Amino acid sequence: MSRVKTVWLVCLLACLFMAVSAVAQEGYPLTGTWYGDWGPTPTHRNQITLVVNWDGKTVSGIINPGPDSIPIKVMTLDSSKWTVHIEADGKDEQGRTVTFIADGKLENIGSWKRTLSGSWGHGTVKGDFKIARD
Amino acid sequence: MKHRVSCLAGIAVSAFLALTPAWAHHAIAGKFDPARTTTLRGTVTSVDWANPHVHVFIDVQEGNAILNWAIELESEVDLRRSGWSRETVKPGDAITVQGITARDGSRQAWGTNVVAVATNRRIFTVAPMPARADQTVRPTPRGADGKPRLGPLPGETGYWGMPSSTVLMQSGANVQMDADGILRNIGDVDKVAPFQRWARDLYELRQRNFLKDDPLFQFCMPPGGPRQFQLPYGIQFVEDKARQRIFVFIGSGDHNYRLIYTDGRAQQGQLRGDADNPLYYGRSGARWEGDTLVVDTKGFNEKFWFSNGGLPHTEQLHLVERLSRPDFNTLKYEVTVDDPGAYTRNWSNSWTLQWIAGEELPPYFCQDNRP
Repeated sequence: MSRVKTVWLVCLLACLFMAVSAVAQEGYPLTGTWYGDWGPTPTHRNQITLVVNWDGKTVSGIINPGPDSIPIKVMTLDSSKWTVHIEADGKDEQGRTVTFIADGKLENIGSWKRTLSGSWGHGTVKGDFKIARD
Repeated sequence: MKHRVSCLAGIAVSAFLALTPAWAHHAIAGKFDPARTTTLRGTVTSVDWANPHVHVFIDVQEGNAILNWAIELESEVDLRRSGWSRETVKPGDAITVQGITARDGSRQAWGTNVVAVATNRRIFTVAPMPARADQTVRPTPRGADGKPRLGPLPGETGYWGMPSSTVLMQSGANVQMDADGILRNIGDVDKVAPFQRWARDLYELRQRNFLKDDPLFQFCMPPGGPRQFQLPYGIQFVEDKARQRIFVFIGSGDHNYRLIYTDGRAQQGQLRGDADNPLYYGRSGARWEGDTLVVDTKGFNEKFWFSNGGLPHTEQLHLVERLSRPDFNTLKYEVTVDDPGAYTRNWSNSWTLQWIAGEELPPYFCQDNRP
């Protein structure tokens, strides 16, 4: 029985290693898929997914891929401070089109699981966000 | 009795540089701090004789406590080549270790000088690779088609190693680096390559971190691109003329291989849905221009570092490599880097490798002992 457990554990560790290996990305720091949440308060959170591409000149991407996806209008990286500026047009709770503006900072840039966190807002509504690169 | 002794940082750095072989296969400075020296006297509890680095564990008395330290040494390949084995020390043996300690404060040290107490003999020293200048000068070997052979002759063994340069930078750059690609002067960042701003800043970050995030070291990722020609355990070509392809076996890349096709096929995936799947070694097609094999490669992924020093690249990376064998014992390698995602213009460099006659690629597998 213990041998079965050992084999299972080895397989699990191998799968975890492969999973880690499979998502490593060492190129442009924003490229990839990012998951996390955003919201106006610590208890009011919304899941968010960003898919980001780099063509060598500009960053492009979409927020929450699917029928309600939102294209990223502006996304820039200031690599001297590793800060990121994002703009996207979405709907507010009343269904009106508003421009969301977010500013964040990259952390653990050398890691495959780097993070981007900061603040967002539209008009007088403000909040924070934290996403991690998958 | 306390056996741990701290020394002056300057002496430590000098000793470290003097004692670290140029063939360290990755930047140990990412894990160990050359300025934090230690001397440990302890009793061997076990030996982990495996690549990429051998470990000897010792019990060290510190005050009233006995603490177990992990002493990290060179690779099993280098130690075995230098005459050492897993039997060199046994549990119960007393040894004295001079080394540098881990940056994270854990009880790990890189052993720069290990002495067996019983014999007062220095052990686990690594000898430099023997000079190959005495190899017989022979003309370029050729196949039946008249083209240079890149691999060994039938019935012979050998591989390519001892690159004349283990670091990558644009040709003509006046930049000093150590063998692992760490800049002597961080102010030279902008001279290394024609970086885009983000790539420059990422390269500088990696340098300031002493390359500790190197995926080759962290996750045993394959050394795609020119890096495979700048690592310590060499490469081997196997030319499969019947199928118009060349295997490049990569000694420092866990004996995995890269394929270069000479049949003119498109550089895309062979399976449905695989056409856009980027690869560690990309997709290579080649043709002969006189005695030079010109290899064109694209389709790289971004999961690896393509140089020892941590130069960034993107999936737009496109390499043109020119391989020639001007004589039996010399392989000339030239590379042009074309990556508009990371660099502002194309750049290139070249170096040579030596024929290591009569030997096969060393049996090196990074995964033998990785955290």
